[in-house]
Amino acid sequence: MTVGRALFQLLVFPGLLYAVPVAWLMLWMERKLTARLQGRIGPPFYQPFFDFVKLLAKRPLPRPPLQALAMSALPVLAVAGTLGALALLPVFPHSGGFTGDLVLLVALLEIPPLCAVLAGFVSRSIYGELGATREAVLSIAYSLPFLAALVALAAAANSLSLSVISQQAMWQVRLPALLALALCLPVKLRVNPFSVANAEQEIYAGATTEFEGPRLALWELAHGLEWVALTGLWAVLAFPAANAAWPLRAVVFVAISLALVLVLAAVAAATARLKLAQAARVYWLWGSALGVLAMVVAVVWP
Amino acid sequence: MNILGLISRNFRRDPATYRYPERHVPATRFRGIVRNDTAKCIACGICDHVCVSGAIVVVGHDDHCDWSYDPGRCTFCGRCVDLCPGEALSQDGDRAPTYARSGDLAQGEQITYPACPECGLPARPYNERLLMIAHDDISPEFRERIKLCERCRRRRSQTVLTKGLGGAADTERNADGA
Repeated sequence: MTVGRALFQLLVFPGLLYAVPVAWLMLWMERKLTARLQGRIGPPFYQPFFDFVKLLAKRPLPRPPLQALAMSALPVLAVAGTLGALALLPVFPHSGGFTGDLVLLVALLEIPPLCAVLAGFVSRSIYGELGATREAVLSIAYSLPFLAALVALAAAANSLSLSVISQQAMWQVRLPALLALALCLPVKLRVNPFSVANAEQEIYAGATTEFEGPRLALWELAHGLEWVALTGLWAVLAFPAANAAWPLRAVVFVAISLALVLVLAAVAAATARLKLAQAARVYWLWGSALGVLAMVVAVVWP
Repeated sequence: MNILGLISRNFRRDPATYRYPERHVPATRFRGIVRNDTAKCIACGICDHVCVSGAIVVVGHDDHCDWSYDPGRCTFCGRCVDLCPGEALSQDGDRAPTYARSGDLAQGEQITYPACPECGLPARPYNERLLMIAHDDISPEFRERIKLCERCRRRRSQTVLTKGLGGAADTERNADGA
């Protein structure tokens, strides 16, 4: 992977230039579809952008220096981590990548939840701490199926390189692995039925309750970018035609990502929030079963 | 799976939300924005005097009067409308349109004083309804006089008075002489 290529992926596609507008688009799609399924009108498509600009224009609250530093740095770190993860997605498999980028991707994808946990505690709010605790418990629960699925894919392709995995992993392994990953998406994106970590209307905004102005704007951006990155990861791994031309690949990548947003929003609208123990049980039991199934198939299948 | 039927039905239907104009249909005798009918306004300034929130400001000049109204300050109490002697003020029966900045709905009217038929200087505007209240019977001469400016009117009254008085004195003198 050359420097130019890496910069292109980080800053243009599927990085900054693509991801930020699409993040707002996805946040809007999720809100709009939820609203329509609940018989409401829903926001206009530019609403997430307006929210972001409005939050950026607000003056941050004065806080003790260390807390201010931590509360500013954590959302920045979350945005940066997600952007890094996005840059690693092998939308065009011949664009390079390197051996081990799967490990880096997993690490970068774990940064936003980790930052959210720290943010909840550093904000010294009881709701923030509650949200952070829930986030931490859930992240332990979903990490098992999430990692098991990725490990199974890596084992099936016999490589730690994302582009190789996305092209060569067997469909017998890919199917349960993709199911396990899909099961992890709602909890990573904090939507129903696994929205207990931010639990709107119940513990305010969870970990980000105490955040305001530009800091909250960055959290919103990080959340939108998480949508792009996680649906993008799923889209890359579920990509049906390995040898398609690059424009087609880009279009299909975007189409799968957006379709996944619609599915997740529909599921969110149709389900109620599970309790923490119930949500954790789903991942320990069903998620892990899928992950383990994928791993067994990857190891046993000739 | 009752919920699937529910959300698919919601999706097919139009949203249940009522948007602004249909939402809350105003009641009868709803007190909305105040309007001034400049044809009836006599620029008396009572509305300015009774306006508790200072929404109506009336500033008189030599040849016209500026009537300004800011709905952003108005409490829609309706006192100006109740006390308007010429029934020039009225209130809209519907809600005000939405606006983005304060002062967007502010209106200003200019009440030009009509020219006096005799000297051409500005005369106070008058209102037919007020005339009817003040005087049961309006003679053509009186109607002529009401259009005059104050100075001309006074002069006309003086002439009439002196003429009348003069006539009476003559009669008296004649009677004495007889």
